[in-house]
Amino acid sequence: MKFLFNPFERYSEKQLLFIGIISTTLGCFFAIFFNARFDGILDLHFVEKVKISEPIFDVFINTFCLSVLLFLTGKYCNKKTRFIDIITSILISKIPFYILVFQNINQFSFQIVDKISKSLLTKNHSIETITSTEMSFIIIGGILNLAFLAWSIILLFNGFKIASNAKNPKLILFFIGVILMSEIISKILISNFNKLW
Amino acid sequence: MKPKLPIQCPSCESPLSVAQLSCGNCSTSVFGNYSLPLLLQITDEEQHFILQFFLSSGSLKEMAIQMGNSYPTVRNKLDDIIQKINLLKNKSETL
Repeated sequence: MKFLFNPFERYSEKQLLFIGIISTTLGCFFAIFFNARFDGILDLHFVEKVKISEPIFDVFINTFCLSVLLFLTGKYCNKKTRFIDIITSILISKIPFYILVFQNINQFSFQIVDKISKSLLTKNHSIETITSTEMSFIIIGGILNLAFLAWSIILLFNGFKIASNAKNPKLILFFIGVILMSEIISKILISNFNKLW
Repeated sequence: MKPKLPIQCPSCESPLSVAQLSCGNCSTSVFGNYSLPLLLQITDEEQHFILQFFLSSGSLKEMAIQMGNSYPTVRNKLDDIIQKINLLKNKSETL
């Protein structure tokens, strides 16, 4: 269990960085292949056709925003906090998102979400056209997505806790603040760059 | 089994002090009220950690490899022990 939720306690920064870089590279590759966008640090959306540069850019912006804010918070909690420990925590915590990309094999997830969106947008709300298989996918997929999101946040929190050795009772509040700030900043940056391109 | 040095009163949990020392050779006994050295006031595990730190010439990286833990985990453990010793030190100075 510790391997899944807190690998930062045991594995060296070199091992974690290696796994982090490999998983990020594979994650970007799969995102391009399965048309996924990581348009925010807590976001995963499937689109009709993704440009090769988009998931790579998303990952870069997300990692940049989170690493800067988390590192500054870590330094505030403990001056001995190292950037390498923060960056490895971020890279490893993104692995659950890269696994979730596989939901969109053959545009499966995108087509269902698109179908629901269109049926809700039309006046007749013809949601009855959604099959029971699709409905099961939405329910199971939703639960799975939430579980993987929780896994990702737990990984990030454990990594941050070890990197900063923070024992401040306000640590959770700081952490939530950083997550929300990073989400807002990364969303703004990604959407603005999307408009430019 | 090696007997463990008790450092806390089993009744009220206050720190214990040394009241008697005796010579194993001639059985001479010395009575008094001596406080325990700081390093004996921490747990066995913490004492072992400090000994390992000393034996690895103060290299936390080497210790991390030996212990099979990551560098920040070992550094955090050391920081926690330093904090504990500082607290004990301040406590003994105020007494």
